[in-house]
Order: sequence, then structure tokens, then C-alpha cells
Amino acid sequence: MTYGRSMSDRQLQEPTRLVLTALADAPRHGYAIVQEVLAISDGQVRLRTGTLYTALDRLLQQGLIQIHAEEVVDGRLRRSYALTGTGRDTLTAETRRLSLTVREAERRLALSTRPGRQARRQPGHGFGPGTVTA
Amino acid sequence: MTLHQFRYRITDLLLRLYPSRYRAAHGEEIAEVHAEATAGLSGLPLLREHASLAAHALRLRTRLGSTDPAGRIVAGAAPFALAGAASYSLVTALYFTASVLVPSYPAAHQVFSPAFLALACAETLPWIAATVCALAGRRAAARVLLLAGTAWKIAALLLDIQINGESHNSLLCMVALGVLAVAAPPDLVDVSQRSSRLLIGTMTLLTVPPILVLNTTLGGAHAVDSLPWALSHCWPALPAAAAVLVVLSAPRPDRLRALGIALSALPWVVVLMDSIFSFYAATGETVLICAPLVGAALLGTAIRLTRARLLSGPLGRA
Repeated sequence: MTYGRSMSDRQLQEPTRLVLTALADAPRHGYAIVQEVLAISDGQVRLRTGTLYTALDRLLQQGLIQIHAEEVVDGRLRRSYALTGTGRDTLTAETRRLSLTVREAERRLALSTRPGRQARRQPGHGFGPGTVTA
Repeated sequence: MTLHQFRYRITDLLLRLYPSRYRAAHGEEIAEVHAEATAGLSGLPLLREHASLAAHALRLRTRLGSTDPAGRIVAGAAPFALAGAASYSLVTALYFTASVLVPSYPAAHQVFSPAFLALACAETLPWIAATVCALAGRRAAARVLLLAGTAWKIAALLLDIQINGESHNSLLCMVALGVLAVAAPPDLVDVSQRSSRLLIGTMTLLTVPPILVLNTTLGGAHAVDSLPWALSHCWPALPAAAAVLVVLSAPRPDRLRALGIALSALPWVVVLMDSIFSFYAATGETVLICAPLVGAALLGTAIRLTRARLLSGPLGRA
């Protein structure tokens, strides 16, 4: 089980990772994050308003994002969020972890399709460049 | 009232569910996002959007959000509570099925009408199905089924409906487990992770079925206060105690999670005290359930402190 406390030092949950990814290139306001997450996940993840603000509340508290700007559009407040330095580091670490997993999965899948080869590492070889445990 | 006015009114009502301070800080912004998110929606998708907002508001109001300590405690309890409720339901369903299918089964002398059997098994289905959905990574479906199962048990408790002969104590336990599982902040209980699913599956198999195996093996002939009796009565707390030990012996223990796990075992205190209605039995059950949890907490803390001392000593510094 992944819990909020351990989120920063272990893996991120999918909605959280997607929100951070949505904010990686530019600050965005609430509904823009929803739209961006929908696009990033290829239409698979549609954050509902309650879920979005649950994630934003937690990310703000953990210092992974910050309020970037507040503006009034058509008489209504629009608040945009941006990654903090810690948030960027966390996302970078998470991306590296996922890349290693993907690379390893691809390697094993490739091995398993070749007859007579076993998808087994030689003793002493780690899991990618650095040993990662999830 | 136009459709636009009606929607505005609904959003306004939903926003009133938020604590006033949070509403003052974020209400306008949330209303804006909600209006954009629900534009063009109708029927079930619209209802889900509203439900998501209401759930977030109520979570903040009850201080069960993912940033609140209580929310994190309940999140620690949720997988164990779900597994415990499913475990109990699984055994109940097996009992009724075996009663009919196996003539030599101890309860076969009881005459179950097909309607009774169907109803008794149907009552266990939401819990079992919720666990199956959680194991399949279907979080939303699992929560809906859990909500349905808990609501039914609450109704049964309040209206004194006992379909499968469940006592009030058993109903109370199921309600407590259901509430713990439902109340957990969804973003802290991630069933998309393989480790989460493994935990729920393992706990479902370990919480109640071993008691059935123990009682079946011993034929129910063990005396009160004997070791098998004590073991069968404290068993539901043992898997939770093992988890508490693992969490608290970690270098950086999540104490709130450990507290939640321990909390998930407490509803079992009331279940097994049905047979003897006495203060002695109630105290005995409480001790039998709490002792393994307290023991695990102390042992976990001792392991962590010992490890820290060894690491900070000459050997660790070297």
C-alpha cells in the first residue's frame, strides 16, 4: 500500500504523478490540469474535481507544488499551480525509476520471445544502473 | 428556474458542505473548475462529478482528508478492514453453501430454504465482490460495493434484521470494518499497486479462514480458556499484529499507519464474545485481541531502536 507519507521517498501514485507531469512544463490552473492529465493518459484518466483538489491539497502540503498566480477571469478567481524545486526533483526521480522498470521489462520481454534464451540476470548484476526497489 | 440556474444552485449546495475556512479560500476556484468539468455532462457522469465534490467536502469537514492525521490512520486501516470484512463474508458464504451441499456438515441438520440461502449468500456478495474489484485494481467499483454493503449492514443493525442469524455483535463488527474501509481517503489507498492487492488478498485469506480450519480440525471440542480456544479468539488480530511489527520496525516508521492497522483489528473484539455474555468474557476478548497488537508495537519499536543503536555505535560508524 502506498501512503502519503512515503510518497516522496517511494513511488508516486498515478493521479499524483500525472498532476506533477501536467505541471512539469508550465504552471496551470485547475481545469487545465484536468485536461492535460486526460491528454497525457491518452484519455484513460479523467480527474474529477474532488479528486483533483484532494491531490492538489496534498501536493501543496508536501511542498511539491505551489500557487503560481491568482487572476480573476470573467469575475471568477482562477488560481494556477506550479512545480516547486522539490516537486521537480521528485518527478525526476520517479521518471528515472519508471524508465528503469520499462527498460527492464522490454529487455525481459525481448528475451522471452527468443527461443532458448532465459530472461535471467547473471549473479552480481543489479537492476539497471542503480538498484531500485519499489 | 433555468438549467444553468439549477446547476449553479447544486454547485452552491455542494460548496456549502465544505468547512467555511476552506470554502473561503478555495470555494470560488473549485466552483469554476466544477462548472467547467460538468459543462455538457448529464446523467451518471454528472452525478459522479457531484459525488466526487461532495466526498471531498465531507472528508475535509470530518477531518478525514489525506493531509489529516485521522485520514492517514483510516487509510492504514482500510485494506485490513476490507480484507477482514471479505474474509468474514467468505466464511459465512462457505458455511451456508456447505450446510446445503455437504450432508455431513455440522449445520446440515438445519433446514435452509432456497430463498433463505440465496438471501444469506447475497448479503455477503457486496463484500466479496468489493474485494475482487480491489484485487482487480477497480477502485471505484470496490468503493461503491463497499458503500452498499456497509449501508445494508447499518440498516440491518438499526432495523434489527438478522438474515443469516448474525448477532448484533457481528453486525457491529461488519459496520465498523465497512466504515473504516469506506472512510479512507481514496488517494491514500491505491489498489493499482501490486503490493496493495497482494496485501488485501493475503489478509483476506489469513484473517478468518484459519479459525474455521482450526475449529473444524478440533471439532469444536476445545475447552474454554484452552490454548486452541485462545488462539481461535485472538487470531483476527495476529495478521494485523504482524503488519504493525513490520511497519514499526522499519527505519522510518509510519506510526499513523501502524495505528490504523491496529485499529482495524479492534472490531473483532465484539464478534467472538457472543457465546458468553459476561464482563469476564468481554475483558478476555479485549485482552486477546489487544495483547498481540501491543506486543507487536513494543517489539517493533525495540527492533528499530536496537538497530539504530547498533548503527550509531562503533560498528555502525565504521
